[in-house]
Amino acid sequence: MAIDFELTGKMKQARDLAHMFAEQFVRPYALEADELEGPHPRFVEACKQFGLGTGHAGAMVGAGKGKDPAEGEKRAKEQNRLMLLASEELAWGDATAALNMPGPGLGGPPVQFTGTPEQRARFLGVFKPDEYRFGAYALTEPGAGSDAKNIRTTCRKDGDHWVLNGTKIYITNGKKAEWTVVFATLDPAMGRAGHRTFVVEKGAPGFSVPKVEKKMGLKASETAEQVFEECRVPADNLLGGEAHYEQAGKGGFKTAMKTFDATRPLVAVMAVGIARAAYEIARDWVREHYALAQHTARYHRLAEAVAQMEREIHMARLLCWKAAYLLDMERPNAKESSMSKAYAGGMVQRVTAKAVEVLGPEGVLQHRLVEKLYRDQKVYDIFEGTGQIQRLVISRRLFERA
Amino acid sequence: MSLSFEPDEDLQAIVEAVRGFAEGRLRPRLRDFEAAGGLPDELMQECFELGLTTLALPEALGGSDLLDIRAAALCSEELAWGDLGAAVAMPGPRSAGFAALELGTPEQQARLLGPFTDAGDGWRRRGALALVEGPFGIDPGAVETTARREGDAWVLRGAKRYVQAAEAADLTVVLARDEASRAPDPWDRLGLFAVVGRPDGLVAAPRSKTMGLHTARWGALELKDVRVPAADRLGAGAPGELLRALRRTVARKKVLDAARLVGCTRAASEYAFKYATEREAFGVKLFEHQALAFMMADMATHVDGLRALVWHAAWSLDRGEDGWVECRRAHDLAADLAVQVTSDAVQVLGGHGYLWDHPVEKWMRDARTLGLVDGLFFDEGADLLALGK
Repeated sequence: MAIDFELTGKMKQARDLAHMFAEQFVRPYALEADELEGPHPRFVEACKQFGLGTGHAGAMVGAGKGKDPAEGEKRAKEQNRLMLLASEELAWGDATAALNMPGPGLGGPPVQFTGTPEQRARFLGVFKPDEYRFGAYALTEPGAGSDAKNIRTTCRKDGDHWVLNGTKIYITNGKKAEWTVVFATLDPAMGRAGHRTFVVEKGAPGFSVPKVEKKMGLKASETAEQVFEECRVPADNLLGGEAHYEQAGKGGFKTAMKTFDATRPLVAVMAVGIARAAYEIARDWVREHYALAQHTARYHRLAEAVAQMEREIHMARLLCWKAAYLLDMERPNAKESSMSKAYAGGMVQRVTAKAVEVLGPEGVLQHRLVEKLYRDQKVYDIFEGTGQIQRLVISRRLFERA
Repeated sequence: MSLSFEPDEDLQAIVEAVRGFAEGRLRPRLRDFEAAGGLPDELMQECFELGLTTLALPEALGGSDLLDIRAAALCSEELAWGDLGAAVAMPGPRSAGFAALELGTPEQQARLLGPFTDAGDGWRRRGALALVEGPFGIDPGAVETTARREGDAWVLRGAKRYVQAAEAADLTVVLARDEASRAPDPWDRLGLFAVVGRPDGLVAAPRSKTMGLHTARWGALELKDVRVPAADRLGAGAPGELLRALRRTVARKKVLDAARLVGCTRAASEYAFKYATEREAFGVKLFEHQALAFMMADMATHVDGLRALVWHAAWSLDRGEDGWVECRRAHDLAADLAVQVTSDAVQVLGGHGYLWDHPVEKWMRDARTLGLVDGLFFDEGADLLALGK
C-alpha cells in the first residue's frame, strides 16, 4: 500500500461509463423528471437498454460478471470505491438518477451481508438486466428516525409465517419495489436484541402503501409510506434465518448499522456530485457574464466563492474515498463513514446556496438547474442519519475508551 | 496501487520515528523555543543528523530518494504536531532549495545545496526565498526589484518583504525583473537569482514581531546593488519556464505548510479531546456535553479531511504535475480550518485555554500566522475561472 490517488483501469472505467450515461441519459432530462415527479421515460429506456437492472452501481462497475474468478475477487476488493466513483457521476447528472437506477437499492446490502445463499439467490434474482425493478429498505418509522433501536413495528411468529404490524415512512421506491427489507422488533422492551429483519414482497397480505409523499426536492424519486397490518411473511423471509439472530447479540440492529457503514459514504458522495454540478454552473456563469467585468468587486467576491466551493467539494470527496477505502480493506470505518456524511451534508448546502447566489435572480428561476440542486441537496444532511447523528457517531468513537 | 490512504511500511516506520522525536524533543520545550525566538543549536544539530533539514531533496543533495513529497508531508505533519514553531523554524535549504531543484542545473544544485549537507556547519545553514514585495502576492507586472546585467554578473536592486530567515540565510533566492527583457509575457521578464552568503548590499531589516511562530523570524530584505555571478541565475529564461518553476516551488511550500497546519490542528484537537475526558462540569465529563461533543466531532473531521487533501496534493506533485491548484486548495482550506479548529480547542478548555498554562493558545496564534505570513497570495478563483479545471 501507499498513499496513491491514481485510479485503476476498472475505476476509471466505472467513473467514465457512469459519466457518459449521466451526460447522455440523465442530465438532459433532469428538469423534466422533476416536473413529472418520476423517472423520465427516456431514462428508463436507457436503463433497460444498457442492462442496468441488477443494481445501478453494481451493473455500472460490472460487479458479479467476468469469467476470471481472480479478476472478480480483485474487483470485489475495490467494490466500494467503484460504487462511489460511479455514484458521484450519476448524482452529478441528477441526484434522483442514483435513486431511480433499477436494482435492490439500499435493500441490496442487508440481503448481501445477512441473507442466506438461498435468500440472496431468491431476492437478488428478481433483478434482470433489462427490467426496471426495485428493492427497498424500510427502517424509519413515524416515531423512530435515526434512533433506530426504538422501532415499534412488531413481528411475531405464527406457524411457518411471521406477522408484522406497524408503519414505515420515507421509504425510497416503497410503492414500486418488488420487495422491501423491513426492520421489526419482537418486543420493544428487548432493545436491539429483539430486532429482526424481513424481506416483505410486493402484494404480501396485509401490506399496503397508502401514500406517496410530496417533497421539496428529489421529486423524481418516489418516497412512500408503508403500512403492515397483520402482514404475513413466510418464515423463509427472515433475513439470515433464525440462526443468524441466535449468534448475533445485537441482531437486526447490527444489520442496519453495517448497512450504514457502506451507504453513508455512498450517500455523501452523491452530495459531492450535486455540489460539483452546482459548482460548474456557478463557475461557468461567472466566466460568461463577468468576462468584461473583472474589475468589479462583485466579480472578485464571486471568484473567491467559486474557489471556496472547489476546496470544500474536494475535501468532501476525499473523506468519502477514505471511508470506502477502509471498507474495501475490511477495516472498521464507522467513524470515517460518518465523517464523510457529516461534512458532505453541510458542504452541499453551502455550495448550492452559494451557486444560487452567484446566478442572482436567475438562480431562483425554476428552469435553472441550480434552483433544483438547492432543493434536492437538503435531504443529504438528513437521510442515512442527520448531520447531528453523524456527529454523535463520530464523538462516540472519539471517546469510546474514555 | 490505487486510491489508497495508507503509507507503505517503510514510510510508516519513518513517520513513527519522527513522531517519537516530536514528542520527546519538541513538544516539552515549545514554550522555550518561543521565548528564545529560535531553536537551540543542539536541537538543530540533532535535526540535521536525523535528515529532517533536507527532507524532500534528492539523495544526491542530502535527502533520500525514498522520501518524496508525500513522505515530506507526513514527516512535516509529525514535526508540527510536536511544535509548529519548531517545524517552521527548521534549518535547511527549505523553499530556496525547491526553487533550485525546479530551475537549477545539476551543477547549480550541487554547488548551491551541497553546503547544506556539510558535516561541519551544514546544520546551521538556512535557505530563504525572497519573492514578495507587497502584501498582495506577486503581480508579475509590478515586480520592482530589478536585475541589471554588468559583465559576468547580475546586479540586484530592490526590496522584498515577508522573507523567512531574511537576516540569517546562507542562500537567498530572489525574484527580480530582468531590466533588459522585452518578453511579451511579464512572467518571462522575471528571473530567480541565487544570492550565496551575505554579500555587500544584502541588508536585512530587524525581524518583524509576529502574532505566532516567534521561532521562525520573518523580515524585510533590501538589495542595494547586490552582485550575483551570472552562473547563479537559475533557469535559462525560456518562455513559460519561470512561471512553471515558480508554481511548483510555491506549490511545494504550500503543501508542506498545509501538512504542518494539519499537524498543529491535530495537536490542538487531541489536547482538547484529552481535556474533555478529564474535566467535569455539571457532574459529567466535558465530552458528555453534546454541544462540545459535536464541536469536537467537527474538529476531528476537519483534521482527517485536510490530511487527505494534503496527501492528494503531495501526490500530484510527486507524479510531476505542477500541483498548482491542488496545493493551494489544500493550503487555503487548511489555513481556514486550522483557525477554526485551534480556536475550538481553546474554547473546549475555556478560560484555561486562554492562559499560557496550556499550549492551545499558542497553537491558535501559530496557526493563524502560518497561513498568512509568507504573503504568497494568488487569486485561485480567477485561476479556476480561467483554467477550466
